[in-house]
Amino acid sequence: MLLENIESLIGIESNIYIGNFPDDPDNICTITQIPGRPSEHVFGQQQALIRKPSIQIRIRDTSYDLGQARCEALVAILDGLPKTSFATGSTILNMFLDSDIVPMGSDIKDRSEFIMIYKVMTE
Amino acid sequence: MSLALPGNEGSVMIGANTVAYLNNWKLSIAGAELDTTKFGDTDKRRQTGIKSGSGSGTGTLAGGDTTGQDILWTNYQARTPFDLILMVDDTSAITVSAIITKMTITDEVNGVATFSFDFESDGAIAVDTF
Repeated sequence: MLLENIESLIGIESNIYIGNFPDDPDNICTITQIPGRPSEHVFGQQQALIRKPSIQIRIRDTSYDLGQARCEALVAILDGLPKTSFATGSTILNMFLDSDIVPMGSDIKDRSEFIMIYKVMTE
Repeated sequence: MSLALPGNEGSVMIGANTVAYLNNWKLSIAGAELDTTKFGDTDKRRQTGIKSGSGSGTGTLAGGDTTGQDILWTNYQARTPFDLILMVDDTSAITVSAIITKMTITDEVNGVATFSFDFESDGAIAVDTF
């Protein structure tokens, strides 16, 4: 649900995949959840008051420059995201870029890859 | 047989109302000792003094908690003692007539607003058997 909610925020990307990174098409964006931080509990509630997942966004592009530009465009949307509620009922309290844009080199088809890690707080 | 008391069963109450969004409380109880050693003594002599308590609570700042966090603020402003009930679990309570001595709010740009309060006891502290 978190990943789909984030997907809904980045309509500028046309080939978005949740959790997988297919070989085709060339230019894609993948959103994956990765280990985050311990959630925050309060007295009297079994469920966490605040959850703290992390997500990885992985970009692949046939052009290094265009791939990096796509990453910068995503940073402009997601880094420092203010409190955002979704129709699903969940809310992202905030979201911050935890690493900068990391170039991962090229794959065997000479396509450039980048990753970004974001820390997220949800309720 | 003794049983551990899980921390998540605790709470802080004011009257019948639970203070929202707290995740930690602490109480320290101390008994003063008076040094009565006099000239000629070869060993320290002590006399028991008065007892006192102090403590704190911390948690996430809750908007609209009119019967909990707001009451802490009200009593801090009023500077009057009130009964603060520290629950270890559903049944074991420590009741302190408390005076709020400090309120702290922390707001970090990449976190959520948190708050904490410190208190001192006013009079005897009623401690349950756990």
